[in-house]
This record gives sequence, structure tokens and C-alpha cells, in this order.
Amino acid sequence: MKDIKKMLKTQAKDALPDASVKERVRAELGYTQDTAQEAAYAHGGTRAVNKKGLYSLLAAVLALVIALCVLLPVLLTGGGGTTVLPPALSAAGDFYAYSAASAGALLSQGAAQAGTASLRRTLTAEEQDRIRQATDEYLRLAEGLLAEDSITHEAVAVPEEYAQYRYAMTITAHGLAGDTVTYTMYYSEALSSEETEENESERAYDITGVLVTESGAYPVRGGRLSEEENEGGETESESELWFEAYTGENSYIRIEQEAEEESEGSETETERTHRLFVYENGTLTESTTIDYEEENGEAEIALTILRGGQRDTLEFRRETRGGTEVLFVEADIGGLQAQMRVYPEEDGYRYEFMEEDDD
Amino acid sequence: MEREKLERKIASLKAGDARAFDYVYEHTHKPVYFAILYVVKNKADAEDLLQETFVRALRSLGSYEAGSNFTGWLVRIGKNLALNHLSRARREVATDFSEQAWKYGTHEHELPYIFDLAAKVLAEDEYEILMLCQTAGYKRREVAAMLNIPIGTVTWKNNEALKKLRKILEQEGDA
Repeated sequence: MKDIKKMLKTQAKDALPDASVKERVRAELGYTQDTAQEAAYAHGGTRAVNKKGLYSLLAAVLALVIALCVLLPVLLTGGGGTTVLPPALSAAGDFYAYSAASAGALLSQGAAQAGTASLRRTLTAEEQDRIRQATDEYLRLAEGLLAEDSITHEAVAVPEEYAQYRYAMTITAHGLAGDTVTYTMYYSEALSSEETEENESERAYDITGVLVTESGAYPVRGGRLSEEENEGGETESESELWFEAYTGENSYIRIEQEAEEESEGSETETERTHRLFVYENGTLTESTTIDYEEENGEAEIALTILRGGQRDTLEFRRETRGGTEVLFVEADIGGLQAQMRVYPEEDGYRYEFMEEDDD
Repeated sequence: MEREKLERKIASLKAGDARAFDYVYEHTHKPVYFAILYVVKNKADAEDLLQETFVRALRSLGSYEAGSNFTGWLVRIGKNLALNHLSRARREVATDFSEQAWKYGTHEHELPYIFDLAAKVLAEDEYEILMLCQTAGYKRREVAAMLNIPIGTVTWKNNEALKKLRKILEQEGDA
């Protein structure tokens, strides 16, 4: 049964309608895309960022989302929208540890550095460079999500200048090379709805605040929804978390996380998905989906990137070769397909492109 | 609660606030799409018909009676358009003797096998419930509200559909 469910879920993207249908309807009816613009304006986004800054901000918000995954269940134990500071944030560490696949630790820092060029010529050197460059970019984006124990957080006192917010926390992202980046979030949160009926329960929370990074302070807003459903011997629990950080009057980034756990008898499956959207001048310019799935102790991560009319995919899984943990990567970048292994080395990472008949 | 919010957004759209379109589309298009897909069994055609459904429905939003299940209203429009499309395609097939292109579609628009199989072997309600629960990611409670049926029925049909598909796949595996 689970195999069929899995098939339906994993192949859903090939069966569900294309996002362009919505745009075609919008165009035919003459609806303009000013919703996002007005929302951004309403939340006071005023800071313009360049492309590099945008990816840094994406990484910051992603780290924030991951940290909040751990933080919120602890924070919200106060219930009823009145919360207390968490006595021990590490109590929810297992939740985070699950979502942060250790595979990412191999990717996080070294991928951003120029690795030693590959050595097998399935593709031309130029093509390999192109794939490596694209992989580096996407992996930097995913660093916060993927690296095991790379993100820590701590509740701190709220300074006077942010007195309108009830809580403050610092989130520190650690790179493999020992470097760290710290963000600070000042925020308030409140229970926005609660619903319980028969074997289902649902709670939603709203969060508003400011995210301070090395490049500036960004107004943010977000929300969290948790649901649990019991039916017969099956239990399903789902949680959703979303965050928006405003980078300009009409520009913002949005990160959504969905997590689902399903248990039937002794079997448990967990899936986690992050979606990252970049809106510039009110238009969606890039979207990335990161799927993380673990079953029977095996983890797989898949990124699907839509940008400029191009769809790229990257899939990762861990392998052990000769006692060394390496990362097996399958990439489809602009129609160029490649399989490669990424080896961690002292000064970065080495990419090894594989021939078709390699195992 | 979601249904009330949807009704508020529909009212906004009716009043000319185009900003409500995103919410309305995102919260209704999947059941409409699967209802159409079940009839036409071709992704490209289903997408075109989904577009036509929304354009027609939103242009005649005045005829929608508030609170009377907007998704159900859209589904009815979508199914009618799909059935008309099918009749038209059948006539065209009879005229030009093409190889039932309306039925199987072109290679690039082929559905994954499991979806194709589900549309062929499941009853319409089983198919729709299965797609909404397993593919579109809705919770059973949401599907029950959308289709205006008890949640127990959703659970039952969803499980029956899964069992049917598993049985067929197992038989195919044995063959």
C-alpha cells in the first residue's frame, strides 16, 4: 500500500497541472499580479539587495525556518498564545537532527569552493564546469537545510530598540571550514486558530518580526500549522511552516516547509519538503523545491529548480567508498545530464564525474 | 473555516478584487483538474480544459450562489467541458480516422503509468478521492469538505482505491 502511495506522491509532479495554467487564466481574465507587491509594501520591505545578497538572505531565512522547527514546539508548550522562553532548546534536537541530513555536511562549505576538476570525460571540460558551477550555487542555497548539526540557536534578551517584539534568538550557521554566520530574529507569535474534531486536531500560529543579518534588517512574517489525524491503526501528522522576508517594496523571498510523518504498524515514513520562492518586482523569478526523504535509514535529497524557463534537477545520496563517506550526485542542468561523486578533502571538495557504465 | 475564507475570497473576486484570484485558484483547481483528467485521460487536454473552466466560471461568477460549494460548481463546469471535448474529439476521429489521439495523447503528455492505470480501473469517485488524498496532498477532512461527503466515506474509498491498484499491480507482477 505504501509503495502505491509513494508512487502517487513521487510522480505527482508529472501528473499535476503545470503552474503556467494559472498564469494563462490570469492573463485571459486580465488580472494583474499586484497582490504580492501590496503585501510586500504592507510589511515595510524597503531594502534592495543584489543577487549575492539575495542568496545570503535565502540561506538566512532557511536557517531560521529550520531553527524554528525546533524552537516552536518547545515555545508553544505554553499554549493559548502565551508562551514562555524555552528552558532547553535542545529538547527538540531530534526533530532538527532528522531534518538536517548529514549528507549535507559534505556539501555545505566545500561545494562553494572551486573543487578540483573532474577527471573523467563523459562530458567536455566546459560542460563539467557548467554543471559544477550550477551545483555549487544550488548547494550553497541548501547548506542550512542539509548540514548536520550546522545550525544552532539560542534565546537571547530582547534589546530596547526591538521592544515591540516579545522574543529574540540568535541562529548560528556553522560551515565545515569552521566559519560561522550569525543571524538574529526578533519576533512575536500568537495562536491564530485551534480546531479539534473527532480524531483530528489543528493549531495555527502567526509570527511577525525582524530578521537581522550581516547585510541588513528585514521585516519578516510567517506562520505555522500543525495537524494530527488518527484513523484505524494509522496515524498521520503534518506540519507546515512558512516565512517571508521583504527585500524591497515589491520584492520578497518566501520559504515554505512541509513535514509529514505516517505510521502504520511498525513502519514509519517521514518526508520533508522545502520550497523557496524569489519574487522580484512582484514577479516570481525563481522557485526551488527541496525534497528530503528517509526510509529504512536511507536518506535522499532532491532539488528541483525552476528559473528563467529552465528546469534543473539535482539528486543526492550518501555512499561509502573505501571507508570514506562520499556523496553521489545526479544532475540535470540545462539538459546536460551527469553523475558524479563528491569527495571531501582538506582544501575543499573534489568532483569526480562518472562514465555511464560506472557503478 | 477554510471554506468560509474561500467564500470571502470569492466575494472579493466578485466585487472586482483581482488579488483574491491566487487564493481561489490555489484552493480549488486540483479537484477540478482531476475530475477533468478522469474524463479526458490526457494531461495537456486536461490543462487546457482547466484553463477554460476557470475563465468561464470566473467570467460568470455572478451566477454562483454564495455558500453553495464553489469547488463543486467548478467541478461541474469542468466535467461538462471535458465531456463536450470528448464528444467533439470522437466526431473528429470518425472523420479523419486518426488513431484515437484524444484518448491516448502524444508521448510528451503521457501520464505516469500509475495515474493512467488509476483512471482506467477506478470508479470516478474512488479516483478523485485517491488523487486528492495521495497526489494533491489534501487531508481527508479537506477532501470530505470539498466533495461534500462524510470523512468516513473518503477514508473508505481511498483505501479501496489503493487496494484495487495494489491487486492489479501484483497480478501484473506475477504475469
